[in-house]
Amino acid sequence: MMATFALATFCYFIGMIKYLLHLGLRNRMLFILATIMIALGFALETVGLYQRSLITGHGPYTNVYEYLVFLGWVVFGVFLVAEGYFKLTPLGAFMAPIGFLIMLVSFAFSPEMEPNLPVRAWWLTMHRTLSFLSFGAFSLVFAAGLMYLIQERQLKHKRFGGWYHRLPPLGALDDINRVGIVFGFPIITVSALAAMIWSSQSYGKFLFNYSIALLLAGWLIYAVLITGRFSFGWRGRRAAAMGVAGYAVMIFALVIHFGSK
Amino acid sequence: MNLVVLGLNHNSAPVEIREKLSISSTRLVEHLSMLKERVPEAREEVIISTCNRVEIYALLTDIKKGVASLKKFMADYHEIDLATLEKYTYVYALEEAVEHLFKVSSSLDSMVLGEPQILGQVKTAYKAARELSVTGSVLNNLFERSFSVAKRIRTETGIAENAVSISYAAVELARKIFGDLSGKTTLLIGAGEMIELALKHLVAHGVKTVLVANRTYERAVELATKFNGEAVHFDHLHEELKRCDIVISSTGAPHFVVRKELAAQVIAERANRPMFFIDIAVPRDIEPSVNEIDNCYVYDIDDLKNVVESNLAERAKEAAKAEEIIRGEVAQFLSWLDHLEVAPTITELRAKAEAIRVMEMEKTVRRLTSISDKDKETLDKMTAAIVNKILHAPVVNLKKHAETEDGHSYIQALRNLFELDK
Repeated sequence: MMATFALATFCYFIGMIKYLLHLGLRNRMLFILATIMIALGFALETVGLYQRSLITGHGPYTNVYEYLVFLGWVVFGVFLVAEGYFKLTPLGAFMAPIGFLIMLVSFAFSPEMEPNLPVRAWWLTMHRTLSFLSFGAFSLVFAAGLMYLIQERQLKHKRFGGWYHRLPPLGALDDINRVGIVFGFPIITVSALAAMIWSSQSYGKFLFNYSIALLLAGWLIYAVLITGRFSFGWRGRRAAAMGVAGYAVMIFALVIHFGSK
Repeated sequence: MNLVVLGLNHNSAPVEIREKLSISSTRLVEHLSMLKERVPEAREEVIISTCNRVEIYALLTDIKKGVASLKKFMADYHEIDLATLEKYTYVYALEEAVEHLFKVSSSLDSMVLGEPQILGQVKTAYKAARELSVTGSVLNNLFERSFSVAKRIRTETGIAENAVSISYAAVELARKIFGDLSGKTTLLIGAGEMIELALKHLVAHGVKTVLVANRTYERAVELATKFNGEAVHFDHLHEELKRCDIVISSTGAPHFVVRKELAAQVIAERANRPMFFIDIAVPRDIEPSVNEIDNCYVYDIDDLKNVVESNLAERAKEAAKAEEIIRGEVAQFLSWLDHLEVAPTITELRAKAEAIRVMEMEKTVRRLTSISDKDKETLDKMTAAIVNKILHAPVVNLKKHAETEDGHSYIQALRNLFELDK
């Protein structure tokens, strides 16, 4: 199982390298091979997660190692769907490194299994599943935002170098921002509500600490973004920048959140 | 067998010479059949004639004589002297000829790198020759291969990807900003040739609504009819701008037609939907600082020229990749050609040796009157064995070397040493 995850990570690595090479060289074959490698890694990881859950009898929610492996799985899953749906070849070069880094970091944690856990609160499981899913969507928003900011700079400053030729049209990237937010925001909102319900059920109060404050700040950025986007027509650079900023806060919050476990 | 190309192009010859030597499509068939008669060394032939090149591809039995007759034929036909012809033409043989055709078909040898017409022109030239049955297995294979190479290069490299004309560059930029252009609205302010070209490209890429504004409303109506668009009043520019995604401006106005305040107001009213201003006018119509507004992009004529320049540079980079592909394809074709030649060469070599042996046997037997039939048989076997033993090593080695890079030189050397082409 560990070997399966290691092998999956290796596939992700090869896929990521091929995506980065494809960004530079724009060789169609590299792109196809990259997607195959990522899909293979994803399939392997799915098998690994399934095997692990057969032994533990629960989903991958019990320790930081499991969080990270699961998070990596979600990022690549969302990526594969997004690549197929939006058909933007440079996406992999921006998103695969995120997933790969998460997988890589997971190896720093102990992969121990806790098979005989008491039945966990339903709300907590719900909170974790949904927050991971939203993280996948926000990774997509982040990657698209980064590309948008670079491409917009090229177009505004009239620089027609490598980036201009390689990155997708602004319109397409703005679409990803919209779709990603529309999916990600409701999910993270429900996830936050689930966490609150769980915390009030098990502790009789709302838990509050730095990481939760940060997560709330991240949520707030996305809340402002989605409101601005749909009520005031905030699109383009502003939406892209907020997508990137929200993600940065989220990552920071997650590092502290996981670190406290 | 010697594959050669005799030709001239925009690099080797000035237009006065090119137009003199060009062959109109109506005379191509006549030209091909005449070549067949006048150049007896040519076994197969194809003639490509476009405004930038005239090239004769031929498979010759004798390269020196063949090229000389080709040149003479070309000079005679077009009534220019041989020295002038030689000054402006190039001759490539074998692998260079293969490489050259691959480059021509893939538009690596074109004036505008990556232009799409040349492939069609080569195809037409080949079809004409083929229909006249003046091509054979070698040129058929060579040309078919060149088409697939061209296709490969088009899909695997970005040689034809970026716009190299100003009007097309505007469309490319619009697509970089909006992505999909279908359903977008364009406003034309003013008139001019460039505007029409750009508009044509935009419509081809899906732009739906075309609005036309002009100082004189009648002129706007006139242009709108022409472009299948809608004339709008110049005084309502503010209102009309709100529904426009792309604005192409080319008026003779001495002042800005769209100022920053106006653009800022319009973009706010459009809920920040992006706007792309293409300013072809000199003096400019769109205030340059409009570009500073979020979601507004302003490109003037110089900017568009820069796009074209950078795209040409990008194509040149892609050409390097294409040349890599061509190198591989040339090697593949040559190895096919060698295989094609190696078997007949061996057969001819054996036949020649056998002919000598039989002749010498007969001569000797005629002189040896007392020889018994049994001895004759022994002698026959012995001579046959000598011939076989001598030929064994060259045949085996020829087969072996035919696989390598200089396979062709081995075949040619052997053919020359044994005078197989005489």
